[in-house]
Amino acid sequence: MNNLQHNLHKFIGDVNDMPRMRSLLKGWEPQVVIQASDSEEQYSFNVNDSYLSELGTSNDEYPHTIILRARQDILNKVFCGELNPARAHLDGELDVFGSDKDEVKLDAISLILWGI
Amino acid sequence: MSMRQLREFIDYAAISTGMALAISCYAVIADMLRIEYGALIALAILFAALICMLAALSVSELAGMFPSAPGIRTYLKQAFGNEFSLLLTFIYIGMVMLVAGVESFAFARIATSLGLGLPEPVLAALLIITVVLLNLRGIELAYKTQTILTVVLVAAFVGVSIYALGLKATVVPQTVATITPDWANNLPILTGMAIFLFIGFEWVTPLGRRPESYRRLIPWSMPMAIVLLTILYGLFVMALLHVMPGKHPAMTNVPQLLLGQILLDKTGLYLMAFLSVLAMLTSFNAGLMGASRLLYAVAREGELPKWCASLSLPACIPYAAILIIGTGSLFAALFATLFHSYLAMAMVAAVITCLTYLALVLANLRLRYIQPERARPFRNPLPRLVQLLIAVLFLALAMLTLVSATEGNVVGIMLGMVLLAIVVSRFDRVITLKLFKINTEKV
Repeated sequence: MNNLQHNLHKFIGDVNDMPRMRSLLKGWEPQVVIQASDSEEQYSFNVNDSYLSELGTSNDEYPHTIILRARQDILNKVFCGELNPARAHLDGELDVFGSDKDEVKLDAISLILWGI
Repeated sequence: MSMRQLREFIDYAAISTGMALAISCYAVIADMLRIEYGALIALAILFAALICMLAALSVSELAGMFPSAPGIRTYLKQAFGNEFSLLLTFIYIGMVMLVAGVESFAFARIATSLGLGLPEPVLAALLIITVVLLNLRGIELAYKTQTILTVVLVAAFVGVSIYALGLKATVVPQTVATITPDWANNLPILTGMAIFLFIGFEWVTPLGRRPESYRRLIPWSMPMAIVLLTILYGLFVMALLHVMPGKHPAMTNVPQLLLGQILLDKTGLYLMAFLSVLAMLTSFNAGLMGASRLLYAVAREGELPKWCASLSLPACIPYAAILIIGTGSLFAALFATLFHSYLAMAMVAAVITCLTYLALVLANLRLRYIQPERARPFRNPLPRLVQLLIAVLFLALAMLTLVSATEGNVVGIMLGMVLLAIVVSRFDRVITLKLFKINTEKV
């Protein structure tokens, strides 16, 4: 398991273990695809019933998909809470393909999880 | 292009068109007609469209380099650094509030024309408060709905204009108004004012659904939107001149209602009022929401006090940013209606837009030097010298509009906005530090 995979597993576990996330994720059920722009790596998880699923392969036909794309080192920092994702997004280091609401929701997760 | 790509392209073009299509544009056209009642207006619209289209090529290259990024803030930060980017971002947010003020003024005029007996400031304030409440409830127009609305609107407005142009001499006894001897003096200022008609076409850049959308779909959606808007406004002006060949004594700030009334009497009046409200729906709410999201993002970045990034959970609505933008828009609406400063505000918005496009064109040129290795899925095909000339043209337009404005308070509003933006961008750290200190002391 590489670094990014490890960080994503930990991120999923931390979000699922935090009771406050249940109300935050209620009624929001996207597929989140994470793409490393400097390698072929791609991971995906779904949000179902306020819980994040384990990592799997992405489904191109999924009706509500959010794509997060950045260099691997940026993704690592974002998913272990070292880098404020809002700042990374504004700096053009993290691309987020989703609606405004999706962006704020993802931002709120990092805010609650790490306080950044 | 596959069917899926075609549908996606139509969506982007419709969003870009819908963001720029607003009822305040008709109020500005009415004021352009007060300066020069003739076909020169159509020429000014054409010039403004052409310049905006050339700027759109630079914006497309930037959007491809930083896909999904919140436009102006990211592009200018990368090219010119944090301070300048922050300053122009705040000026731009202020411009959105000004446009909201002008738009609510135009709405109040429509409501008054329909016989609604409330004072205009009250009507304008009610509109802003309603939109803020909708935003606080998280109610937004879905992109699909916005696409359908825009297609209907463009078809309806163009249809009405063509119908008017087809009436010929049986209804219209005279020919189209002629060009006045002042045309050479008036054309630059009219072109500057016409820039207002295209404000917002670039708001589509953060909305790409996939990385591939930034290769062709997003870049070509903006020129397409500008072409559609040019046809729409150009035909409207020609239709208005056709059915009202001489200066009409009843020329109001809602010329679209006047045209509707001339064509179809009361039915035409109500039809155009209905279309105008639909046009407002495609831009007004999305514009205010977009500005509040930009403000929220800047606050999350740490450039504004933390309370500006307050969210209401679990819906994740950035209520503090919405309230700030709403309050600013409310002041702008009251200013526009109480002091009838809507034209000065519209001209300031046009000047700020010219300066913003100037900055974006220069940002693109600078990034080619300082980040040559960065991937560019779309590249502006124009030679650098031509791009530089476009930047100069935007500067000249901004200066001419500012200098030749007959409204006395254009310069005042402009200076006020720049000063306010400087204060907010320079003193945010002081405010943040103070709040942080207070919080720490409490702990």
